[in-house]
Amino acid sequence: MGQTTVVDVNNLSRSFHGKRALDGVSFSATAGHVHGLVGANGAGKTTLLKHLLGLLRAATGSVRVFGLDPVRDPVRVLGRVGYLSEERELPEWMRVDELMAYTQAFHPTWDETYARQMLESFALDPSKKIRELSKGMRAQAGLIAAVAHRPELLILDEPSSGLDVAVRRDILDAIVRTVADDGRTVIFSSHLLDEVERMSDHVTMMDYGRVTLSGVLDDVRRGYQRSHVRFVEHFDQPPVLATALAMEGGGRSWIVVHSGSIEQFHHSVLALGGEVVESRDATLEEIFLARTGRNRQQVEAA
Amino acid sequence: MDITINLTDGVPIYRQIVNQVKYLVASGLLLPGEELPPIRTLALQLKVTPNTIVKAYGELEISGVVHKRQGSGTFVSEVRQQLALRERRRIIEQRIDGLLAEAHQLNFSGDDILRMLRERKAAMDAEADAEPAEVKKK
Amino acid sequence: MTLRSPTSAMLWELWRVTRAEIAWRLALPIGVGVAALLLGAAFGPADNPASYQRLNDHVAAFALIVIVLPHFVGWLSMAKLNGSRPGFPLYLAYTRPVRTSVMVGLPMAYLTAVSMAIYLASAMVLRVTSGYAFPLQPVAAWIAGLAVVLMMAAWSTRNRVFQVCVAMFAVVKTLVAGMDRITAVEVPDEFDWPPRLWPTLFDFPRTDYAWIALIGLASFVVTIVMVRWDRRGDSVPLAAAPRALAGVITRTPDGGLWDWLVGLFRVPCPTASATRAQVWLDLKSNGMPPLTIGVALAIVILLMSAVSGPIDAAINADPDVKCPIAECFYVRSAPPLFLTPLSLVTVFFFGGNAFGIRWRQGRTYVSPFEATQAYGTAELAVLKLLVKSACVLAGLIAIAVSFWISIPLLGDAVFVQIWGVPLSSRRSVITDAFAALTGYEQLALAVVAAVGVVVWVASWAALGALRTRYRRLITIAVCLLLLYGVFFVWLGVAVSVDPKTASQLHLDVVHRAMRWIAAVATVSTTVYVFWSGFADHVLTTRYASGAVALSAAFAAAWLTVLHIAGVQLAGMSAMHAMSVVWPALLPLMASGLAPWSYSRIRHT
Repeated sequence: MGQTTVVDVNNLSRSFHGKRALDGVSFSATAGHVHGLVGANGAGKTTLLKHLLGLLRAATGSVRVFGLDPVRDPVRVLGRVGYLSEERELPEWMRVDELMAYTQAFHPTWDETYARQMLESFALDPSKKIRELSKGMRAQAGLIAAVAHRPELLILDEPSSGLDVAVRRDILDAIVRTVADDGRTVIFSSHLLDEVERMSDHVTMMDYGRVTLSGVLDDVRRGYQRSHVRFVEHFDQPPVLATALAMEGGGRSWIVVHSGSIEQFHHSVLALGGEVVESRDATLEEIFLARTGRNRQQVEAA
Repeated sequence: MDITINLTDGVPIYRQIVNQVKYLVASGLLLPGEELPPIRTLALQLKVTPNTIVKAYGELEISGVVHKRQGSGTFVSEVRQQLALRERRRIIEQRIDGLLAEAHQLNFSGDDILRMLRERKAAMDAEADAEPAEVKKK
Repeated sequence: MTLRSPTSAMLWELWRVTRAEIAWRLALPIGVGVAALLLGAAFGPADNPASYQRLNDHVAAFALIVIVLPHFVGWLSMAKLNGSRPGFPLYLAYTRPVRTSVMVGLPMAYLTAVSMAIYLASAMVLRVTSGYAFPLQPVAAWIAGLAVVLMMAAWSTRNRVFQVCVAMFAVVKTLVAGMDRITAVEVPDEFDWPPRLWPTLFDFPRTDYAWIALIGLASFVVTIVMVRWDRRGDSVPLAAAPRALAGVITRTPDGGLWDWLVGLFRVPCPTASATRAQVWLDLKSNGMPPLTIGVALAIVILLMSAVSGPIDAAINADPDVKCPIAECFYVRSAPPLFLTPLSLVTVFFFGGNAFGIRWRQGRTYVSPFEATQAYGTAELAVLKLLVKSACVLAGLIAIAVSFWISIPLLGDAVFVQIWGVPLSSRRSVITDAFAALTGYEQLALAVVAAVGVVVWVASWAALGALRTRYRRLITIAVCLLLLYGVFFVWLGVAVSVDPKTASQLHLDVVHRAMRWIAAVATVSTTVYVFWSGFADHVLTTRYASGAVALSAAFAAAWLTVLHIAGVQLAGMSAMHAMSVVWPALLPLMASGLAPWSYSRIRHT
């Protein structure tokens, strides 16, 4: 897989009605990889993705997709991008086959056989109006329209929200197929962290409009440990441990998510009269909750 | 190929795949010379990003479990008895470590464990004699 | 704030939902009424007491109509609660532990009381301002009755047909009954209900109140029963009616009339090029509605004209049309007097929102589906405008042609009574005038008309787009623009009616100055929009040169039209000439404003 940069966002900031939606966000996506974007509601994921499509103008900073500015050059950028939005804003009156034909007209790379295959496997009736489709079927129709022209960049904004398991699998399938075909890139945002964990090569975590974490998924996860700690004495409040980010549990037994020097952590556990029972790499969900959740504690100065 | 991915253990997905392939090879469920599923197919089956499969196959190749044939795919390497033996030992040793840890928690000594092992083995042998022999897995 | 009981909670909710609309319903009619009264009193012919009296009488009648009229329309803020669909708007309360009779009765009582209060307040203010005896409780009672019936129509079922029919019936009946009442006494020389007679005319008998109470109670009971059915989820019987009624017309889908119109045009989407596909999309979603409505209205005009003769004869039992117009009603008078102008206005009205801006949950936005298609911003904007304008033009032409054809069908007799000249002679005046023009002049007229429609559609679309971005600014600007337009028109009327007052206030100069202001505004907008468009790379040199060429053609046509109208540019001062010629710049402004404003909302 090449290392060409498909998307390059540099120090992007954007406010809405005085509220900071994005604050100095820098993000880049390399070709042939799946990039996952995670964050709480309102963290700025959708805002960032909208900037990539030119739906929002960069107030400060720059946005480049395929080296072009999506606001200045909508035709050349959007012609190579497939987009599935969270709200699935498809015209209600259009029929499924009309949607396919309409999208086909804009993308010369449309693969009719692939589109038909997907229509059949999703069992979508082409003569039905969008209005008559259920939420899951709308997502499927939107997915076909986004993927059938084999875009170089596929942008999915909360693709699985509100969908049942079967449709979610279809979406994951589409992501895999897109990346497995050489050189194509996927950027998707999701609340479902297990999905992001399976599907992402790179993960970016956002909080309050800032990027808090970014990197190759396995490297990121290796930086965080989850340990089960047992103490001799009873603690009413979470004990203060070095490099710990979040703690759960009570009394003598605590689950700690920590990042940084493992020796330091072990030393501080021993110092408080406890022992580390077991330890493993933290899952993405645990990292996410540790960084944004309520069980956070201040990291002690080393 | 029967592989399952577990996201709650915290073990990286590629590592899980590597481990399971090694287990399948070691237990004879994957025969030498057999082809592993193509990257795309396995990625679709497991619903993981293809790069993970690429990484897993890459690590399997480095450790010599599989080898890539130019353009054709990935195949299980010829059986090397030491590797299988090493793998098998490692798997059992893991189980024994787990058993010992749990025994310690439940306040059983090492001698207790050995005694119980012998008892359970005797019971199992008795049962096996009473019933018709199982079909040996090929 | 603690609300101590369900009733107070519901009342508070109703207040919050309707308070903005209450403010509007008070301010606008009172404002217009008071303004009219004051203007009439100030600018009436002071030297002639009889005509002064007459003018002010007319103004008072106008003011009365203005404060009564809003009550013929249902409460918009309530309808918005369930997306302007028929059905009980407070359906979210179904799961609350409140009885249906309270849930329905409370809003009904509240809205009736508020409507009456608004009317009474308006009437009292006008009384104090003008000294005329504006009627109070009789009209208030009628308004209350009408309000209850309208609520019953809107809330009882989910059936649009039922709502429209009942509401129309109620409104028409009220109007007709009311007009019958107050024109019962014939007054020579003036209209039949002058203000000095109002105390007696509006002294309705007691039985009126009894009837209103009865109707109100009946509507209330009907509404409660239907809402109770709806609440329980039982299928309401009237829902079956339109299916039986419909027959030829396919079932009106949930999207309503608009979507049904869109569905009429069944042509497969072309895949050969992006432009064709986009034209197809715009035709279906934007263009079809004004076109089909125009064609439908054209057909209606034609049919009505065709059958008007026999109908009139049947109604009035008067084949010779001797019955004077004041006493007998002629269907024949409808097409030229209201139907055609109304149809033209309707088609114009449907020419709005060419950019397809959606409104949902208080948010206006351009459809991301269209905005993310691989198509240039300026091209997209222009395409949408052209498609919409073409459809609007086609609709207008259909209506005009239909009216033209139906003139011979209407006959002359009635119009001799109304205007003193038969309709066909008016028609021949127009045909002769047109034939007198050269081919070039005729072309110029056509160009001006067509481009005029495009500019209208473009301006409205651009305004809508800018309003999405800069809500408050544009609302202020639109209000100012409307005031400017109204003032402009009033000045024109004043100048033409009474040249003496005109010279007194130098109205002629003011008039010209206002046209100058418009010219300057147009030029500066054009310059800004083009400069900004170039800076954003929305507009290209190619586009700009095309726009300039088109504007040049329009300018030539405009000058020709001025010439036809008899305006002699040669003899005017430069200032005066400028103030007449500036509309030629409008297409240039529109061709820059439209893509620029669309780019503002496509790339927010």
